[in-house]
Amino acid sequence: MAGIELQNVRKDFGTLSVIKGVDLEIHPGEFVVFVGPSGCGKSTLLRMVAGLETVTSGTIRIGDRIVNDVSPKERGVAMVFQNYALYPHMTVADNIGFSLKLSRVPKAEIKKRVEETARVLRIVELLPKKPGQLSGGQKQRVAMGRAMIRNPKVFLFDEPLSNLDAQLRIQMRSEIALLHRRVGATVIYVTHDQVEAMTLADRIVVLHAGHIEQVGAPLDVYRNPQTQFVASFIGTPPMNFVPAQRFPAASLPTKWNGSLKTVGFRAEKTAIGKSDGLVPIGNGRVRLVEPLGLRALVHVELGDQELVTEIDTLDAPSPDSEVPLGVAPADLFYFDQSGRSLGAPL
Amino acid sequence: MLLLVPALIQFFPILYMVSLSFKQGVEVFAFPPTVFPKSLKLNNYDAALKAAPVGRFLVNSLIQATSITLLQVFTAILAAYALARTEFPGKKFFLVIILATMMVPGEVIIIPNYLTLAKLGWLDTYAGLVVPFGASGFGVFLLYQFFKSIPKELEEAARVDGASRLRFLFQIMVPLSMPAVVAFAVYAFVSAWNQYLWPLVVTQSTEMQTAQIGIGMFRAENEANSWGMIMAATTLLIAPSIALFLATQKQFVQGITMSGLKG
Repeated sequence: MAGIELQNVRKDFGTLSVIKGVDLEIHPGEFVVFVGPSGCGKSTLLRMVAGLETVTSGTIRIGDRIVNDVSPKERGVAMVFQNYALYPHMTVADNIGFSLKLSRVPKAEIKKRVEETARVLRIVELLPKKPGQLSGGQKQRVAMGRAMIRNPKVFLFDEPLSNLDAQLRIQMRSEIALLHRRVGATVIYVTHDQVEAMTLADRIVVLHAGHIEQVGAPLDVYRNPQTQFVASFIGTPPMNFVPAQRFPAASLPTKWNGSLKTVGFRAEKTAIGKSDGLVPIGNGRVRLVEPLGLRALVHVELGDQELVTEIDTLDAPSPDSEVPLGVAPADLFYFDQSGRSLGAPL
Repeated sequence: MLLLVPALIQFFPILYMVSLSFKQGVEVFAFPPTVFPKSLKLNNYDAALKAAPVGRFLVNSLIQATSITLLQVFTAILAAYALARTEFPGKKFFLVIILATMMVPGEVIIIPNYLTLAKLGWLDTYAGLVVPFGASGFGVFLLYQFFKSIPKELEEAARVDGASRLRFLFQIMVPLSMPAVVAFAVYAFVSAWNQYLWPLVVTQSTEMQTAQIGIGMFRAENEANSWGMIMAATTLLIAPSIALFLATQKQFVQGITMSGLKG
């Protein structure tokens, strides 16, 4: 177990700046998820921690050692790749034991530890097979075994579940969580799927265009997004945003004067109907109703905007009907011109 | 089925060679010619082995062709890896230069090579037969194409597992590229085995001469009257390269077609 510390880490590819100064401290044993849209630099940052990309400037520390110029194998990290990266010509047992073989562990010991690891992952019967004969989920387990067997200080996962089908993804997700609880190692996990981020992480790091937008516990990030980007990225469906001038001036707090630009509200907090406690947003036309089971997503066209509300399926209006939308004042988020949160209105 | 026709045409000279090697005396000149010999006596082979040191020629050829093959495969693997997987200044330039060597006809470099080897005192030695063919532009190019198709993540996974570049190359990259490596090795072996001009120029003593030169000697010495014996010697001398091809044809075909598709 080791902590990781990034200090003003930058990465340039030629003139293109991909990571624009990242500071982050990860505590020993913590499960941290890097989340962000594709191209935000989350994989690059992970690969820099792994030692697969050089650091343009800044320092990366694992434990109390600066590892900028340390080769991947000396860093004590293990990585699980999106496409598994199993060695196709070796059996599953050889794949899992490869790193031990490289560090000249005696054969009998390798065999013992491979079997142990396989038992934990419930893949003992796969040991003599080649990766080509395995399903996606099985391959992912083998890749995890290959990472686990070295008892690394740090586990790095690079979108490990994105090649699996939805059902398997949910199953593997909970297995990764259990695995973390069992081995207790520090984990950095990269994903673009915010559900994965919310369910797995001790802390979420939301990345956007090469810098950190927000770091925090999943629910904190969900409840108090510091920027409009985070507000739209964390939570499904994404938060609704409406220009502040759409609202009757009396219904908005006045303390920010002109700097209030955009008002946001989550779909599940958006009500259909009028009542005294609600700030009215306006009347819109129902374009689409997506029943999810107990709840339904209702897409409402309001002027040139489409807003989404989540309500009980039984209460869903019929398409093309006209409905009033409203939100409780406490459920509004306020953002300035640059998309920064203005904080609570009181 | 249609492919059998050209296949038969291709195969006929070899069949006829083997057939002639068993024919006795005037049977060789019988008209119309027969495809199958009347008997399967080995006396032509006996005579061939007595008339010249065929065994020595074969050993020389084996040493020469095997050494060239090993050297070419080794240098091609290293060069192809460097070109396919590392970044260094002038990489494109070196790739073009290596490709350009494929355009230079072998005859052009015979005289400069001969002069160099004469200075080194390597004439009439195995080194003289082998070293000038230690690297192959074609081999580099073939393996370069193949190596580029191997996923980068495999190398990254190996690096995180603790493998050095060389270990990754020889324990993962090369095993995964076996079809291409084997195809190239067979190609290198057969081309080396079939060399005629260079061994003729660089060897002087009978002890150093190779199989191809041996066949030439038979023709020169025996004029036209003992075709049976000449063909017996020829059969002995080309058998190894045919055997090699038969043994590896699956990989050979796979290697050529796969690298072609991915090129």
